Amino acid sequence: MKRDRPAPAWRAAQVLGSVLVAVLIVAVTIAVVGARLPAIRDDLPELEEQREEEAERLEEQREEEAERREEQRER
Amino acid sequence: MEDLVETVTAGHATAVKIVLASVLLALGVYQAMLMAVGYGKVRPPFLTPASAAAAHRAIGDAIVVLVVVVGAACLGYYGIEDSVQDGAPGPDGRVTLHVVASFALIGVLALKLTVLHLWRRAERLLPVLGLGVLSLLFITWLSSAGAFLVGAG
Repeated sequence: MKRDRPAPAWRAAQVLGSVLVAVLIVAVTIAVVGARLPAIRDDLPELEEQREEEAERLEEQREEEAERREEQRER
Repeated sequence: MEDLVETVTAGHATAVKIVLASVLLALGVYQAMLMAVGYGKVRPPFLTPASAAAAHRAIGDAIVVLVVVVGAACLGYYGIEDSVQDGAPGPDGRVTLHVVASFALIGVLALKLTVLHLWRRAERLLPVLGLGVLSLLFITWLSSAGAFLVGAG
């Protein structure tokens, strides 16, 4: 028994439509996750590293400042 | 490699990774839906099994490229030891699970591609391998991007 096959143009439209849905899924996912990123910004390791580096820099600055004051007092 | 990732992501490697991993998971779920149509389990009037399978293959090729790029960037930027030692929020062992699941994902994906292109006699394994890829994608996402998106904030 011969089965009905869809016309090539209709088949191509189905494949193209399915791929376009995938593109839409990608866009929506990027939008949804991107909107959530500001809320989790503080937990990202890059920012933790930046904060640690900043804290170390400030600590060093404070120590240098204290040493300078100590030297001035001794003089 | 670390500098390249840093440059390409403009210093936001983790944020970009979270977005890409989420995109991969969403596409993975869509792929499973397409193959449900491809195997005739679901029969929507607007999509034939052959068209669904053709779309599945086209999107699958893009997913493979994305998995390899994200995996390579992740490995080059964080490395294995750093990833296991310094994790995102979550229970102990979460990052170890992430490393194990992501390597298993690459392995199962490679096996699936081998069956598709070189070992056609094992074609009956494809649905199991596909579900394996989806499960590992979910575990990989949940143990990294998911931990940030769900567990924090």
